[in-house]
Amino acid sequence: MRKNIRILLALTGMLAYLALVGGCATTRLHYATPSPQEKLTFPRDHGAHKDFQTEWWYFTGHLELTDGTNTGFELVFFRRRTEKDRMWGIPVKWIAGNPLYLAHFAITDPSKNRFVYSEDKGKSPYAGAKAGKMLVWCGPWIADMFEDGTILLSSSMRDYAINLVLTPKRPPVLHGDKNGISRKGEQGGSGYYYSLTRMGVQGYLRKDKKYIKVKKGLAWMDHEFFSLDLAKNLAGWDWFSVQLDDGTDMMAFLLHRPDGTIDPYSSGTLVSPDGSIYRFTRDAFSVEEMAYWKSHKSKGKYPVKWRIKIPKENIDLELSAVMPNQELITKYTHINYWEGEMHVSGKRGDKKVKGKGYVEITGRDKPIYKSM
Amino acid sequence: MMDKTFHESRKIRHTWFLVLALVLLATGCTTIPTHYKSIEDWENVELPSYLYLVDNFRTQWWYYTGHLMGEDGTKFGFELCFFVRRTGGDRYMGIPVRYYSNPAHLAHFAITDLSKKKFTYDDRRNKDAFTKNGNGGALKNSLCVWNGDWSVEQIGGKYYLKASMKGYRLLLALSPETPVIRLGDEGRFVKQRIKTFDVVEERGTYYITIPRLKAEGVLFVDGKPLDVTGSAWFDREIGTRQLGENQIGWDWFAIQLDDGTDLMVYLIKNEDATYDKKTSRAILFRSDGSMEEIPYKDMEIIPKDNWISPRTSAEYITSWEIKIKREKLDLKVSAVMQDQEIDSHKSTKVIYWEGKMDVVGTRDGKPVKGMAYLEMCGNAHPVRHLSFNMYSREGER
Repeated sequence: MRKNIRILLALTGMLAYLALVGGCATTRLHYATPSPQEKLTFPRDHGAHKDFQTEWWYFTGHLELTDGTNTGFELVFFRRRTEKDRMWGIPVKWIAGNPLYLAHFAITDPSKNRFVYSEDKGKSPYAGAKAGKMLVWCGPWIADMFEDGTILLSSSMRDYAINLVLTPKRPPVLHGDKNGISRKGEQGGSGYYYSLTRMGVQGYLRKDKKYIKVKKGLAWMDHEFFSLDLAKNLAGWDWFSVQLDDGTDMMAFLLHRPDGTIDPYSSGTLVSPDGSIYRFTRDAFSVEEMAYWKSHKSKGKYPVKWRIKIPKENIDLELSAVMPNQELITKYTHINYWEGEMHVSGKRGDKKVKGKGYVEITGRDKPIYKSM
Repeated sequence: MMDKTFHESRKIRHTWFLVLALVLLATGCTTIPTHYKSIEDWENVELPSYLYLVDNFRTQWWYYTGHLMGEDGTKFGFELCFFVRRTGGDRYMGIPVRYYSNPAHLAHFAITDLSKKKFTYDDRRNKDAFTKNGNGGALKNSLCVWNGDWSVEQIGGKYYLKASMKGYRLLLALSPETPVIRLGDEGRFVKQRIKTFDVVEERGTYYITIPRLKAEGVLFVDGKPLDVTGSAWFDREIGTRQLGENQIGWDWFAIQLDDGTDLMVYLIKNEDATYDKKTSRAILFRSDGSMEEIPYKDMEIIPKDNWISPRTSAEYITSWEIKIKREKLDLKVSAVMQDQEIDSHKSTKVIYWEGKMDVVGTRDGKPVKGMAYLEMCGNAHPVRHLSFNMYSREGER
């Protein structure tokens, strides 16, 4: 009994100490911010930028398999410096590490009507990222760029695994301005943001223990690094990536403000088949939500059908989800979001176009500033 | 509630009884016909399909060895090999191994770390993916072999290797610098030939090799990533009875010289400690793409130094001189570390030595350097009795 009391006392003492230290220690720490003088250079900037607070490498893609089925995948690695982060008043760096790495892996398998996902987290050496070249990993999940610019992407969970080689068909596309500095809202600051919008895919998908060869595929990578609190002034965002069969690639995002309006700094980038780049702002595109799916888990109501128009470029596209349920309920990132594979069809001018896409939707279950 | 438990326990007992009865029946009464193909079937070694999983042979493997250099100049050797074993006819303690898995999947992974002067290896066994809890497999329409989370996968024109063990994790892309080469007689590689009157009996494997591949990737050492580059060697063998009655193992050299020449020396060991003079040979791959087979009689193999394993008491020759007069080649091949012995008790049950070697010597009177891998097996025990077996029936290897 007395021993129990002693343990209790010791625990209370420890908690009090943690709360004290955690509460008082204000770190005078300045993370890097984008500067127009700092031009992105590749392959160096595919690597990690450890002076920035947050960074992610976001891979999405579409696989056409030799067994005749199709599969979508999402594999994302997050790096986060946690000096300023707290959970229940305790510095996150003590609990989870600094930097902290998080990763999500999701598969959309319409042939089995399955959407499955998994997440992982860790600190060095379990997880890490290299500066100067793209190498980022979280446990067995890894993205590694070789000298010829191809990227090996390897990830696995219970029923699915991918071992893919991505071959960029286009140079990196810089978003925001010509330096890749992308502003995240009227109240928010800016971060670096570029994409590899069109990558060929070869490799294998493991499905229920069976390896299936990829016949062909198309992938997309987003790489962002910034030192601002995205959730502070935003209720959520919608992000769109589109790859059309004619060689057109498009990225666009809508930022939703807490008052329900759309932030004027919502923007996008259009890459034409010839590689020319058109960066557009809020007034140049329209997004319409056409149909919804309601999640039983998060109660979030997500659009599963969209219409996007860029009048100046005569673009009129309809994006419809391959499957309605592509929602991720995450433990480690404390956020619920919908990230799903889309069919795309529509028109550019008089010409009919079709293609593939991915859409990410956050903040539909509750405003994102309440999640983070 | 009670009812259900009672019912379940009865069911379990019932199942056990059935299994026991089946095992007894199978082991006691039936012989399973296992007619695996061998080199005596004179199959056409077709490419690329023979790089992929081929059916109805007892044992086949994909064998990668190579030399890596880290961005900081540190040096490593690696070995990663995958075996697929058809287990029909194999027995372990009297019980047919095919009840475990047919085929069974086995793999070895070793790293020779020169900066730490450390040799580390691991081996594993897995059931076939199509059995319950199975996690090994290979494809018939592509070079794709996996054993748990170790794998080799052909993607595009490259081979991607992936393996990890305590302290090391390897991720490599290998790009062939030579074509895929069929050794011996269009891929038919004879290891023993016995002629009794008119009947010729032959033992051996179908043998395919890529003697030089460019390697690039990452080696994690204690969790820290190190960019590595280097060169690798790939061997693919498929067979059912690969050694003869009196043969106990082999010494195999994979030599890559700086002048672009590659040399394989394959010496087949007899019980009486001699080499089989008829089938031992070397194969020279010239940098211009031409290839030449050199018979044993044209070579001089001189053991220079040896090492005795403190664990198994097996004796291994770790320093060699190889002379091929007609090619004006004189090479000294010595181990970078003495102890590169592997006891694959978890998988193939073979004790062997496979290690990274340094090569110095002369060619045409001019100095030449290189790197090599050497495999010696049969030193600790005849491979005949234990190779891949826990399992094997007498006379089938």
